[in-house]
Amino acid sequence: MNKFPTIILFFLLHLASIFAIFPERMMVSASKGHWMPVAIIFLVELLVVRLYLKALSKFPGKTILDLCSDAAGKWGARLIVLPLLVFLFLEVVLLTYYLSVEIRTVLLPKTPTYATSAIFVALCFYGAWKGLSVMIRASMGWFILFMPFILFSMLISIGNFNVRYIFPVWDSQFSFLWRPDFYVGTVIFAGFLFLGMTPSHLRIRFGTAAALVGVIFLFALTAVYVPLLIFGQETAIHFQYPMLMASDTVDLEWVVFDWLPSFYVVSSSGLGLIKVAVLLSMLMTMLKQLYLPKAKNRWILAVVCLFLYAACQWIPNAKALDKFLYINSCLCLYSTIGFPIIVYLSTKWRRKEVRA
Amino acid sequence: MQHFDPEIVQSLESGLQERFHQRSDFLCKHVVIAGEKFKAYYFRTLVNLPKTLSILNQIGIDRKNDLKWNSIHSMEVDAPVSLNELYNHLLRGKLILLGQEGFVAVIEPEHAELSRPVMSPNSENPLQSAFDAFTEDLDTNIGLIRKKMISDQLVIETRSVGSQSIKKIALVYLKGTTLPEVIESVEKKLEENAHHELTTVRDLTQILGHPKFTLIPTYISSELPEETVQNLLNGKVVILMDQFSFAFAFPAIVSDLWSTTLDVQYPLLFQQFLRTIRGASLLLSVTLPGLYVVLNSVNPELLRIQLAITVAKSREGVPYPSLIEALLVLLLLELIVEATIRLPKNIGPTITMIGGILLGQAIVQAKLVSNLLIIILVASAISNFALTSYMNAVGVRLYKYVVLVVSSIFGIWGLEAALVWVILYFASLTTCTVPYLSWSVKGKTADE
Repeated sequence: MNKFPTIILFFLLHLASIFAIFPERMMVSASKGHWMPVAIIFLVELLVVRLYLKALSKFPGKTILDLCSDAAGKWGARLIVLPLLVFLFLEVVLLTYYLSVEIRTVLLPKTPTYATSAIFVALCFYGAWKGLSVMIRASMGWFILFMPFILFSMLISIGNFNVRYIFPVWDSQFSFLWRPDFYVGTVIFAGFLFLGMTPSHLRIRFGTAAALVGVIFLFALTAVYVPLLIFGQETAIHFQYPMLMASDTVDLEWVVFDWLPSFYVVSSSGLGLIKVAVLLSMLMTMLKQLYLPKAKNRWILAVVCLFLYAACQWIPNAKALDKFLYINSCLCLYSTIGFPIIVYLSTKWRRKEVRA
Repeated sequence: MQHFDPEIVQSLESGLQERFHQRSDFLCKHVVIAGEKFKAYYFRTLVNLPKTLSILNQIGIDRKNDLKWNSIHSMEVDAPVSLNELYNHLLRGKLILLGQEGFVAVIEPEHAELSRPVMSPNSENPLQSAFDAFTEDLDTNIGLIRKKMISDQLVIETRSVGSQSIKKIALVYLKGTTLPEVIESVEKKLEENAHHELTTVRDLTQILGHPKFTLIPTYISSELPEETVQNLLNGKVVILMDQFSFAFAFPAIVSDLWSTTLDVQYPLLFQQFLRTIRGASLLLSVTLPGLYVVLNSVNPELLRIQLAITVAKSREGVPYPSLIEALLVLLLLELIVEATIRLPKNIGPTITMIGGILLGQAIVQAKLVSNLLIIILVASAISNFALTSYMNAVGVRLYKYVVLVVSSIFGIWGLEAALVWVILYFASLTTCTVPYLSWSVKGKTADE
């Protein structure tokens, strides 16, 4: 049993958020001490992952869906999972839209969005159709192919840092807690939910997960601080793609390429692809197991992908995207914090029942 | 040796005559062995009769003492039960003796010389290894493996496959090293499809239930016993086909694209270096033509301005879009590769010269394609052949076109999408219960 690919997938899914949506939200949410919201988010994640994995480890061989339906019955499980489904769908739509627009703006200004997002959705469909364990295996390939680009695009702009922008480092009022953007940042949590759907021999232990969260925390900090240290908070919050702008500030003599932000787009779209594909395959499994047991996997997926594609065309602009992100953050809080706690409590309750 | 009712022998005789009367190499001869008269039935092309007779005469046929028959190890005596079995024996090159008083014997004779001896390999060029190669004879091949690998864990199962024409195959694996699931799945498929005809390698993969359309071969073929032994040690199942001088190791995994088993003969550092080079060549041969089109026509702003100008300059006067340009030259390149493969060795260099030097030079000077394209495509072709086997290279050669077309439409994003698709495709492949993206086929280290 080699769990390495699972670890890699866990890592990549978080990186996907770090390369889209997460850093700009963190910057907007706090006016000083940006490491605080990031740290808080990761502490919460640590806690939730602990509960989630604990619940799963009690019942090896069962997925979260089995656990829910055992504890709450079929209809109860459907009710519990429904917000999660909506969250996953919205998340997938938003991410796809965000990345298609990014690809169009930076790489293909003349190609219409419907073409770039078509190929995006088609690839995700293919990945999700093949299933979660295929995605887990594929994550190794992803890692080898994209990691150089990821590191490159994160670190090239280090030369332009202005260290003074790091101050002030402490926000005594915790003002970010009152900003909705802080909660939008919790989309990064969606990266651990897949652990509950994997075959049990591929599950990782909490210790490993905790170490990973630590590594990811470092990456998240870098992603937030790179634009901050280059532009300063006042400027950075006005960018739609701060990381991308940061990589545009450098001019490397020894690279044959001039337009360095394309590296950023390549890595962020690659990561986005794997995240959307994994979330889609989760969505498919949930729909199949709880709502449509008779339908064929591939048809469910095809319909979901059609909706996804249509929804992406329907979102008019980035402003609307913001609105949806706010709506989605409530669902996100439920799905990534509430849901694991429910799963944990249900297993606890069930164990008592079994003992009695 | 068996005694039958003379009437039965009569019917056997007429049956044989009837069945094989149009086969000109089927003979019936009266022979005398140890003073007794027999009728010998055999295929002239498969049996060396004079030699067999002289051996039989030396031994002498003692019909009363069966022990003497058994003591001669090269002779095999079977009791034929039916006419059909006699046919099969004859077709496999045995000699049938019918005597007076209903005496019937099937004898393993001296065979006519039809196999070539063990020689050095023709399609592979090993550097530091044993140089003997497989031949067409199944038993010789098995013997070669046995000789290279002295182990009681080496299991060799011989089976016959096919209904109209029967093919002998041997299933070879190392007990305890090969995963039991892999052996089981191969055996199951062989049993299920035992009646399928087996004449080509594709038949073999179909019998094993591998998908019909794959981008990469699901097996590794090798002409070298040395390499086959390494494959066995790596936990693969090897299938040898009679009259086929290659061994097929199942299942292939992703690392077989860039590692040959003979690498282990070199120092570790060299091995890592060579494998890294091959890995890089895999990536280059897939992406280079696509990258050319991307940087030329879709995303030229990616390049540094000086370089972009150089690229544009080299295409000055070329009348068509870079995709067409690339496709044209690629087609020419494929033609050269195909043309040189089957040519006799003394004409091959001519084609290379015409294709490479004359055409390459002329096509650029005529401003039909750009200089840069020639460089790129040649680099791509060379890196393609740096891969470990010809079979792997063909798949990569094919996929190159997909990358080319997609990236001409979607630029760098298309290139990325094509690479992502191929990763997903590889991840979804599973042959003989082993996922294609595994580290190794051995024991517990395999994924899943």
